[in-house]
Amino acid sequence: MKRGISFYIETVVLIVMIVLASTVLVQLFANSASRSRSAAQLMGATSAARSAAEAFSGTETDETVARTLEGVCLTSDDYLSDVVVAYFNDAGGISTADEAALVAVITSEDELQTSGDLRAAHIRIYDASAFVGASDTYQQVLDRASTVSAAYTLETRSFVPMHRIMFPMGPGPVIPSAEQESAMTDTAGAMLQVASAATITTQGANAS
Amino acid sequence: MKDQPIKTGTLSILIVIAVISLAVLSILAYQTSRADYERSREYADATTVIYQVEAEGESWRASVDEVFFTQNTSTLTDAQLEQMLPDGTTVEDGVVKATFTEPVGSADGTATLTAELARSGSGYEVRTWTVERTGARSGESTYESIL
Repeated sequence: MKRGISFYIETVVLIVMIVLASTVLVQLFANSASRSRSAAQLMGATSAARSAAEAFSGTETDETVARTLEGVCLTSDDYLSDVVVAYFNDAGGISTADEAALVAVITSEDELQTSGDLRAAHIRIYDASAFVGASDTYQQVLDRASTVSAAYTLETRSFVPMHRIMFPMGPGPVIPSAEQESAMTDTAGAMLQVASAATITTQGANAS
Repeated sequence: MKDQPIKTGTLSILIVIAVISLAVLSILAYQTSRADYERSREYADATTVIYQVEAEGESWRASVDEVFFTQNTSTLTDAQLEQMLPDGTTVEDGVVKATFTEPVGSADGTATLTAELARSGSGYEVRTWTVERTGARSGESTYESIL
């Protein structure tokens, strides 16, 4: 088996070409994988932030936000401020702390007025790995949140009318229309008549 | 058998084809990941803006609610009520209305919140609360208030 100089040249050229191509392609594939991970994380973080924002809009206090998101509400040492910590999986669904891929840190401010409370929420979503062992106290969470960059942040506001502050579990007072009020008065009047007739009957029965 | 030449040319062609195939695959993977990221970025930007107009709407509603709570509005005409409400608010046929629009990204349309409150006695009911997206990805979301 004879091998000419052209064989060796071709072999060297092939090896160089393969090395160069491999280097470029590996970088391209690695870049693609990294970008896909970033895309998935951003999508999950956005979904988690939306869930947190909706929970904030539908509730009146930080405790109820935490309860809705199955998270925890941590209070500062002076009892003046709260921070809600909630856990989400990589798709943005609610998760447990142990299995979480994302952590939501929610702080809120109240702007009280005569008719209710205009609440503003600052929602920040972080990679859960950044919060391992740092979500036990209010100060720990805020310290970590200030040093780690968030995957996504969302600002939202929610107005809570006075009746929802006073009766947070109920749907609020229902103001009847004139027709409804008239019908209710008639019904109440009829019921009173029946009740008074029953009383008279009972009294009569007792008397006899 | 001894004198048969080694066919390096065929091997070269095979390797070149393999490298070209891998290159095409890598370009496709890169394009897909880039498109995924752009889609995610767009979703994130749109979400930010949608909640921004929601926040503007809630602030507006708080201002309107304050007027209804502190004043006896049942005796006021629509024109009188309009003067007491925040700028950009209209009152027509007993309906208090305002719209809030914000651009989504640099060239990806807008998000618009349309809020309508129907006067009812000395209070109001939320009649419409709609966020509409215009542009590349149009859509609409509404919710009925529990008020």
